[in-house]
Amino acid sequence: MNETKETTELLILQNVKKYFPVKDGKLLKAVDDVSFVVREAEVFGLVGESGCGKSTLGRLIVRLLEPTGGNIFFDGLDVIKAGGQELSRIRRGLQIIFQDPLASLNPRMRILDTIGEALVVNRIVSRSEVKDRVAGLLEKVGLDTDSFYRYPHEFSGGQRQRVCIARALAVNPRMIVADEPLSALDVSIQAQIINLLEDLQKDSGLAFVFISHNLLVMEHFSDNVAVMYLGRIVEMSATDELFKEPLHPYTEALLSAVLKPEVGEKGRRIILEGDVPSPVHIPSGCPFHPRCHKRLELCGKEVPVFRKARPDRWVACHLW
Amino acid sequence: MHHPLLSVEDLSISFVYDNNSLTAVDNISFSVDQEDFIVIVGESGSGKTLTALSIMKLLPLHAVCSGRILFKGTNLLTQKTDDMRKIRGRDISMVFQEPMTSLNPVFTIGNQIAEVLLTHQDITRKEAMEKTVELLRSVKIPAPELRIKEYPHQMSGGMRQRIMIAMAIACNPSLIVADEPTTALDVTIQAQILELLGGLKEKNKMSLLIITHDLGIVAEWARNVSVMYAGRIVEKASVKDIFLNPRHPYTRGLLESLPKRKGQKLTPVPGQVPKLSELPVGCKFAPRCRYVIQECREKEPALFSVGADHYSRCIRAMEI
Repeated sequence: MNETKETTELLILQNVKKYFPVKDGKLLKAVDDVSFVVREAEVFGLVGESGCGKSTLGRLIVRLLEPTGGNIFFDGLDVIKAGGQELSRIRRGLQIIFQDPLASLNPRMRILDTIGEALVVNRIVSRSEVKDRVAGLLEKVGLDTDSFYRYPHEFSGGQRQRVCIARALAVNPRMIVADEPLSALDVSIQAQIINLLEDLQKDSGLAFVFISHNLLVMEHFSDNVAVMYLGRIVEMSATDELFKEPLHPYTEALLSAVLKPEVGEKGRRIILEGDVPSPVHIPSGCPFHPRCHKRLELCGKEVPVFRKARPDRWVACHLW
Repeated sequence: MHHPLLSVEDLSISFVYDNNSLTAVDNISFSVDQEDFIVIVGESGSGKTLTALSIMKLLPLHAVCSGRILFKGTNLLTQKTDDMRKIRGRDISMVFQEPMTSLNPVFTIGNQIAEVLLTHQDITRKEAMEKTVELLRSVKIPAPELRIKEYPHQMSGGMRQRIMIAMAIACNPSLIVADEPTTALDVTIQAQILELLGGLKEKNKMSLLIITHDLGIVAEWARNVSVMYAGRIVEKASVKDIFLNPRHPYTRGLLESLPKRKGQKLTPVPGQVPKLSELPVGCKFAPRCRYVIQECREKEPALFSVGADHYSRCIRAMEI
């Protein structure tokens, strides 16, 4: 979204779509026409409520799902068409960590093998060097070599997430897609993991696509942020700008709904009517109009274009 | 003399196995007044959910309970099962975290709410159904006449939680115990549910006891807060004192773990919650505490007064 080309564009998404067929020949539009760019060492946040398509989008980026349409480029390589050598090059540069670390670790593999496998498969080091390298990775995420021969169930939730991060780092990636990496953790542990991710970002210049529903975390960690609603990006901007002055009514409602951990902060709250509609029956016109507190007549009829409302600020709303 | 509605006195809950005894809740006391709003906050494993279940006498059969739970002067812990059944739903109701698993999937919503009314009140089925429609309307469910014929799976998470609340308020109880009532819900829906509970509390002149890990809920809603750690209440104070004048390092740690604006480094609580079987000898928080001194490791401090209606379990409470 920034037109200056000082840093290289690492990840480019162009009109990415993912439709799932459901019964009666209908389509569930999980991700619809999403475009954005993530630069080197940038933290790009994707925020939205459950069912908005943010996790599907994360999976599309690392090609755990095949998109229905659009283009995804990582470091100049075509993620969708890549195969063989090219795909493994992408996978070395682009890793993912998931919400539930226990579910993403093999319960029957010891930590040394779990992380070592990534090193061997990608031919990062020879077998004889694996141990040293894993020790280095564990140190980087704040675990010691005692963990080598332990199984995932022997760790706490926070430690397991550290193991997952170490495994993602094994291939020296340039970008990590982090899908709700904090949601399964306790508050005091969340802060430990945020600090770890932040250090990695600063020290090794790692870029992140950071997916979360937690706006407080998003404000703290991301540089730029895109707000998703029913598979579409409704607003995209620099994080501090967006939190200072949300342009889209949905963003406004989302921000006002945050329960702030500060006394006397019972601010004016926009309570949205009803629930998020099903992505199989997306409302006509602007998908948000049935719940919008600022809707106009036009909103029910015409889909608003995702346009530049101000320098570096994009929004899909008829008010802008 | 002042009589609180609910008074928990020296409650301990332990589990015995293999000749070993693990104490999950250790000697906690707190009270809830008429039309009060009390929050117990703690991370996983702090014993907060067991505390909630003990009030309803829903603890697992092998749990050993001691102390007293006085509700309007009667000790709930010594109530017979049949007598307790009369109290549950009529005088005290509970709202759980996961509305889907607390609703019966094979009965309609109407049936499940009417059951509460038919159990506790001398009314006909028809009257119960009419009252059910009214209840659904009071929790702001659209088209209640149609909804009573639907099943839980036909509703969204937020709606199901409203159903749970309708069920809880059906007999006008004087106390509602809600265990993480908004944790499974999206941000915008969380706000809706809390506004609803707060409004109903005023309207029906009920008291609320909310158990949560979310300091945001605490800040905006509670009158008085108890912070639990490793089965103990480590600090108890008005919401204002908890946030502005915390007198226990753990409370302080929780507050500092919360994400702040960009650029401000978080101060996480190091380490992790100890296992019940491996609790340290002295203060249970000592191994993670940055204010620790030798004395902390030798003897566990009791909860003592550090100000007007403000209690802490830290021997250095006045220095930190």
